[in-house]
Amino acid sequence: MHSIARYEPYLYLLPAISILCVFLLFPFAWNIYISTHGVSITTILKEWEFVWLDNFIQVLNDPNFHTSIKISIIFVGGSVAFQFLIGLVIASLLNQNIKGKQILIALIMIPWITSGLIAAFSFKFIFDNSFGIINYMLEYLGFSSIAWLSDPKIVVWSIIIANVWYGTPFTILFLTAGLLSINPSIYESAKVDGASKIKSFFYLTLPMIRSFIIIDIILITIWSINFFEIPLIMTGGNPLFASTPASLYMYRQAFEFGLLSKGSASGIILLSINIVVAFIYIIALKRRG
Amino acid sequence: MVDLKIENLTKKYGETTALDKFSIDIKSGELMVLLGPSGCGKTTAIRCIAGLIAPTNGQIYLGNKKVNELSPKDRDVAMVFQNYALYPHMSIHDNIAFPLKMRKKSKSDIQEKVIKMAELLGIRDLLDRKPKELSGGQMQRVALGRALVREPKLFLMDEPLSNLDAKLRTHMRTEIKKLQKKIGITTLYITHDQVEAMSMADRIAIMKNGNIQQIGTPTEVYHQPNNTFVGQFIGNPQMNLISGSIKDESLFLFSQPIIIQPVDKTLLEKKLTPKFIVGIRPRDVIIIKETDIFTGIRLDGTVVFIEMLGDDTTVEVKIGSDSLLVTINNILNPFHVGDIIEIGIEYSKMHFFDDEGTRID
Amino acid sequence: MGKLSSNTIEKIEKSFVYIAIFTFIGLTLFPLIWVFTTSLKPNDETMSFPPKLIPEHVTLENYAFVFTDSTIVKSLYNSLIVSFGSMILNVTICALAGYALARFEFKAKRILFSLILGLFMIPVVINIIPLYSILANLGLLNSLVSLILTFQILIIPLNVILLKNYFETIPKELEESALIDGCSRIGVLRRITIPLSMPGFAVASIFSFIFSWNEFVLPIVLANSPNSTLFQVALYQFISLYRIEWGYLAAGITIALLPVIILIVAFQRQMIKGFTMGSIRG
Ligand SMILES: Nc1ncnc2c1ncn2[C@@H]1O[C@H](COP(=O)(O)OP(=O)(O)OP(=O)(O)O)[C@@H](O)[C@H]1O
Ligand SMILES: [Mg+2]
Repeated sequence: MHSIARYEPYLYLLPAISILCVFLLFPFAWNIYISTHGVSITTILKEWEFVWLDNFIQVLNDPNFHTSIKISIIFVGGSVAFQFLIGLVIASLLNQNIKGKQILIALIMIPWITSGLIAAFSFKFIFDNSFGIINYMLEYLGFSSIAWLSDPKIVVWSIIIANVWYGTPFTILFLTAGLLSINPSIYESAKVDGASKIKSFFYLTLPMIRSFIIIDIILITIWSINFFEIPLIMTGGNPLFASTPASLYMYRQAFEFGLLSKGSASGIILLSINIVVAFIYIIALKRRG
Repeated sequence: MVDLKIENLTKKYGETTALDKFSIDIKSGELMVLLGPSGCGKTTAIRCIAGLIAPTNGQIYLGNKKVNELSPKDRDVAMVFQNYALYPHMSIHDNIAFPLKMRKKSKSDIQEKVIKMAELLGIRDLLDRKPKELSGGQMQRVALGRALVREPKLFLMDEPLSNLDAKLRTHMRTEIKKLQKKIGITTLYITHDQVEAMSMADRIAIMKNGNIQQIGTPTEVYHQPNNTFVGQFIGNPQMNLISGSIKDESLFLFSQPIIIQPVDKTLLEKKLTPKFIVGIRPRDVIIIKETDIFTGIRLDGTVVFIEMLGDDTTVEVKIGSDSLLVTINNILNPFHVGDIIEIGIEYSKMHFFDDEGTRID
Repeated sequence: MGKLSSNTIEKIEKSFVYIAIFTFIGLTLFPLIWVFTTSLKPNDETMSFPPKLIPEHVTLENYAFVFTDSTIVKSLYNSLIVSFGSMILNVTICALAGYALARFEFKAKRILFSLILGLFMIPVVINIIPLYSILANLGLLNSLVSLILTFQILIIPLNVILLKNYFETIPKELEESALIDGCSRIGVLRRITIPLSMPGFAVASIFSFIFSWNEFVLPIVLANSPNSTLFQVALYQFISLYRIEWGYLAAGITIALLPVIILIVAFQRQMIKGFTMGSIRG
């Protein structure tokens, strides 16, 4: 009876671990193999030629990749900043003593549980140059209409708006959980000590949910770096590469132009960016924690 | 109804030894209380007996049968857990019926036994409720009912009263004791509350660090503690321990030698080690008034602390650099902190232990 | 004007809070409401200028189109199979793993748990190219089974944590008590553990259903032949196929949104609780 029991937990963990190994860990290693060979969609079933680091050199010398890194920085920076700030404000408002909190949170969650495709299509629809409601409203208010999806300078902001819409509910929920973890009597004692609401927000609330804030920012940063459904569906990364962040660059190389190895190499570069960013944040989390 | 015999039970969790050669005999129909401080291995022992964990070493006999290899369901023991462990998704009726159902008893048989048990415990009206609709005391009764309904060979209880308030606890312990006697089931009852142990037990086993220190009736363990640990664990306030020695037929008590003469002859007949420990219960220390005639040991001390405990009062008396607790009856409480009083200790009330704490007779 | 009493100030503050929250919710829901009303407009109204929120003539013709297009219907069917299949597989796997982590003490526990969490850190998108290559070489592209298996990597870590935490809320003594009462190990699972874990299973199922239903990148890369398209991918293909027929697309989006909205409305309390359990306690 007891000798079987020793292996029991391993038996239960086996399916989960093996699926993760086969579909996550092994492909991860395979990626390195692909990136050092010359493989395209058309040659995938033929012999692969070993090309050393050619693919990496190609990617790093590709002006479109440079553009895509620039786009990534704007896209990630803008998405994270707005998601976090809006999320913090709304979470703080929800944390006031208000009625029907549960149902309000459920409504707020809706964008987050829709798919990236739905988010992208909805915004493609309302941003449409000719019949979109946004341009109509701008004209109605006396402004000139904006080419939301075709002006290379604007388009990145259009995808940021859609992404912020899609991602902010997560931050709201996460920070709400953080705020709930604060003992309310702390505010009462601050009130007795004469702190204004604004002051107690900056001197009490923010420091107390610091670890929630950092973890939230880590998560939304990593997600924004890797997430490309919205630009892919809203604009296809166009015009040219003006709305192609690095993650979409990887996808387009592989599945639009068929250059699997080049995509793979850019995927590994993308991963290194992920690791560096995560590392920086983790240091930030440890240092002041 | 059977007896339980445990030989050299040992349980190791990696480096920690939770049970160390634990041996005990429980007679058929007896209520044995396992008493000990937190972490001494009581729960580990009871869980080995129930078959929930496998001991590293040692034998468990139920009746004359070795049960080490049997799974819990085949040992025919019942257990009440500290948090009652009532099945939250079943009604009270189904909770009590559960062990019978698992043993494939007939429907009518189950029905009859559940009702009988519910009546015995006074929870007949609660049968349709769910556990979360009950009070602590009611849940306690249901847990008892579920354990006893199938008339197991052995009844195990792990601190079953510790979640109840003080008053209900006192009430329930009498009730459990009565029920146990009525059914006559062999029972092992765990607690870390010595009052509970004293009031319920036929015999008490006192544990420390995975070991049994002493087994005996409540009177035995109170009046003849095997060692200083048992002496201090039983009785409230704690037994005073005073270091002592004998030189030239004089008794030296406390660290500052106080010479007392004449030494009782019987004392010299004891096999005392050069250094030893004297135990004296606070209740056995007497406060001598000037008019009293007292033939035991007399000492002067200063009152440093007085604690009212309702019926009694505990007084801390400083003698030299040591202190001694004295329990006195409330009405005789004319002292104030700082008073100098004379206290008396009778030789017959003194317990003697060697310098390792083992009793000397 | 005299000084405002602190009571009045508080009331003004409160109304400001409500106005801000409702404005935010309004802005949040606006795009979806807009899409929804569009789906009810006849085709000539869809692109009329100025656009109108409320359709003049309500029609179901867009839905009728969607439900008669054989590709779309097939893809809906595929999506249902993959989402339910992935949900059942996922909850089974994660329940086993979560139970092992919650109830057993064993040597490699910490390492294996960290492994599951650590693998969660690998962004799935980085794996799309190698997954494509592996499945292509094995001839397993365009297979619903491949999709069900690959979808697991999206949800295993989250649901393992969620169910582990859930099992930990069920006192171990209940299972032990049932063992002593005469249950076999299997009996304990059947009569005690599984019935008591149902709320946890519900939340885990909803999560995995929604994740699978919403997933777009894996299916567009791994299964885009007409027979194996999923619903989200089929909607995407509208763009090229029909030069974006917004009315049809709006109907499709509404259909895609429907199960998710129903689930969240029906289970909002459990979902929020599950969310907090899964992401914060873990
Ligand atoms: N699963 C375990 N793994 C490791 N050590 C354990 C385990 N269970 C118990 N122990 C250790 O064994 C010792 C005895 O524990 P046990 O639970 O039997 O104590 P107890 O006498 O029941 O205490 P309490 O009165 O607090 O319930 C303790 O030191 C405990 O830390
Ligand atoms: Mg215990």
